[in-house]
Parts: sequence; C-alpha cells; structure tokens
Amino acid sequence: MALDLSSYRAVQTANFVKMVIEDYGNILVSNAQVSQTISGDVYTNIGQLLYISDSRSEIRALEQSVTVGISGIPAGSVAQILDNNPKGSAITIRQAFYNPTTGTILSIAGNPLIKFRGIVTNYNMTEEWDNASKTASFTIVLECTSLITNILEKVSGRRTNDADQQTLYPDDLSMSRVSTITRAQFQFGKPGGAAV
Amino acid sequence: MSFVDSLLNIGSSLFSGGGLGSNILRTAVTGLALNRLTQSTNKGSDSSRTQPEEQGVSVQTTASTENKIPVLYGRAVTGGQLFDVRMSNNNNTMHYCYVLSERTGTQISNSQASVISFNNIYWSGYKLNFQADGITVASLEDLQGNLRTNWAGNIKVWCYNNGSTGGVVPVGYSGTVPPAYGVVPGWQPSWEMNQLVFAVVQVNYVRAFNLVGIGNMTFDIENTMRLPGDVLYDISTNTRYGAGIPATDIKAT
Repeated sequence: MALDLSSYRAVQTANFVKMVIEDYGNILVSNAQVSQTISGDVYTNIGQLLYISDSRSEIRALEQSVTVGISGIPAGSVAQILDNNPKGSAITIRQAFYNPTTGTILSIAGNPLIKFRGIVTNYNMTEEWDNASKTASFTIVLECTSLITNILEKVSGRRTNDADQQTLYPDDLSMSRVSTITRAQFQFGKPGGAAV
Repeated sequence: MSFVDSLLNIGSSLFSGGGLGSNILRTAVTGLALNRLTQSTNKGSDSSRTQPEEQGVSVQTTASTENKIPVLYGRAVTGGQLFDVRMSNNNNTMHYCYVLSERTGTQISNSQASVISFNNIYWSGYKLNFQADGITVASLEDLQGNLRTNWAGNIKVWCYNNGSTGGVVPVGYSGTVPPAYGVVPGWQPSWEMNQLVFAVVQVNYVRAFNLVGIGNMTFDIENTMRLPGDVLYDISTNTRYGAGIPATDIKAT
C-alpha cells in the first residue's frame, strides 16, 4: 500500500522487529529514538544497535531474505539466547513513519506497514571484546527468509510410512506394516503356513 | 523222472543248443524278461505316483515407505500406493490395501465438505462389475463390453473415502460397507486411516480359473472439489498436505 506523505514537510522512519520465540516469548526491538507501541506491542528502542539489511519491495510476491543484527548483547544474556533457540521463530519487520518533532507515529492508512514477514532460518553470534573495560558484548545476526521462500521449500503431505502417520495421528497404526511388506514374498495358494 | 524234470530237461536242451532255433529262443526269452522287468519297474512307479502338491504362486509386493500420498481434485484415475498386504485362509486369500488420496477439506464456494466417490474400478484394464452389494465382483468387462464371469465371487473390493469407518460403495450401487478393521485380517480399530481415501481388494486363489494374483488395480475417483478457487484455497491452507497458510492471511471473498 502506498502511503500518502505529501502533506508532511518532514517525516522520520524506523524499523520495528517482532520475533516470536516458541516457549519463550516475544522480542520487540526497534531502531527508533523512543519506544513505540504498535498494535499493543511495546517496542524497545535500541537505536543503532539494530541493523536490518536492505530488502526489496515489489508488487509480486518474491522470495527474499533479510539479515537482522542486534548488537550490544551483554555476555550474561548469551546463555538465555542459546537456551531459547531462535531458529524457526516467526519474525515480522514493520516500518513506521512518524513525526520527528512529536515522535508520534503518523496516523495515516497503512502506517506502519509490514516490510517483511518470515522465519529465522539461522543465526550466529560474534563476540566483541572491550579491552579497556575488560568486558565482552555480543552481536547476534539472524538470517531470515520470507514466507514465500518457506512455502516454496516446504514439503508437506504424508508418505506411506508409520512415522509420517504417527506424527499426524499418534494412535493410528495404519501404516505400521509398510516397512514389513516392502519387497516381501508371499506364497499365494501354497497350503500351510501361518497367515501373514 | 517226473514230469517236471522232463520239462526242465527239454528247456535246458533248447537253451544250451547251438542251433538257430536255440539262439532265437534265447533272444525272445531275454526280450520277454527285459520287457517284464521294465513293466515291473514302471508299475512300481505308478503305484507311488500322487497328485502334485499345490505350490502356489510367489507374489512380491512393491510397497515403499517413501511413496507419497497424493491429493486428488476433480476426477482422476490412479493406481494408489500399496500400504498393507495380508494373506489368510490357509494362504488362499490375499488382501491388498491401496491408499488413493488425502481427504480434502471444505469448499469455500458452498461451505460444504468435499466428498470423494468411486466411479469405476479396473483390474488390468477390465472394469469390475459388482453384485448388488457393491463389494463382490460379479464380472470383468473389457472395452468391447464382453463379460468374464468365471472369477465371480472370488474378488471383493471395499472402498473408503474417510478413514476406516468411512466405507462407500462405487457409484451406481447401494450397500453398507463394514469398517476396514472388520475386513482386513489382523487390523484393529486403531487402524484408523485418518483423513485418507483408500481401498481394500480381496483375492481368492483359484488355480482352475487362473486367478493366482492381483491385477493392475486402477481406481476412477471423483472429488466434488473441482473449482479452481476451492482447490487453490484448500492446497494453500491445509496444514496436512498444503502450504499451511493461515486462513486469515488469505482474502477468500
């Protein structure tokens, strides 16, 4: 959706990242100057500590990937990150236009807009050692792919095996004999022998 | 000299003689003895000969754990994927179980659940005609309409369009189909076949009519979900076999 900003002499933009980590909660950060509330979510302003790579904006639904970096993570938080693996988490990046004077988000249709929606496919952490203060901080870089990419790469459906069937229906034994009868020989019509 | 002694003497003189008559007689007697011996041997063989034991036919199944269960929309003819084979009745009956399709979801065009029905079932290209129960095969019909009836009663097909308890008869027949776990030997109610369309084919071994295995089975099935919008929505939103896109992310109206 195109935003009509023609009536504003000056606008400021900021990105807002929402990451939903299963069994942990939501991480809400932005590179805005002040904290902002969007759709009931309060985004913590971390300013330049948040890095978001460029993304394309096209009418067509495209495969794309985005890298999100969050710097300045204290060493004490590393274990918390590792314990709550962000891989597979849903991530939404919004871009908001707001008034630089008042710091409020402009009240126009379509603002803020969703810039990217996808999942975190990988992440890595780098350590930055400050020799003066003898402390270390970390940067986490999240590699995210769009939903379109996930849909194109997604393999769904069932195969004729017990594992697939039990994943969907744990008590259903219907496919439990497929591995048994793979290339099995039956002496059809030969008297004797137990039923198979 | 007794009468017996006289006969032996005559015989002895005949065999021991060097004349032509003696040679002919010796040859004839030797041939007769050989002939009797041969007959005796053959007779011995005849006395021990029995009907050959039925050895049956070796049948190899081609199931695979990597076969994918298809999703069928509209009308399709499919062979399905084999997922179970059972032999029972002293090895004279086999049950073959074929999964044909995932059961599809609700049609957004009319808000009704999609239904998959069985139009026709084919055995190596021959259409199966059923008895009134819609299960027991009455005849096999070729493309010219010729009927083959000597396998009647020895092939049965049970069709299911919604798991083990969702039995249906082919189009044009009426009848009640029992749960699949009551049909396939060894199955229990936990063989649910959740959200699957499948068929069970029973074959009896009848050597006299050369019914010694299963044919190439194909199933002509038809899904009421056939409109492009319904299909696109179903495959986009279904979490079991589709993309699993949340319905809220799709503008369906």
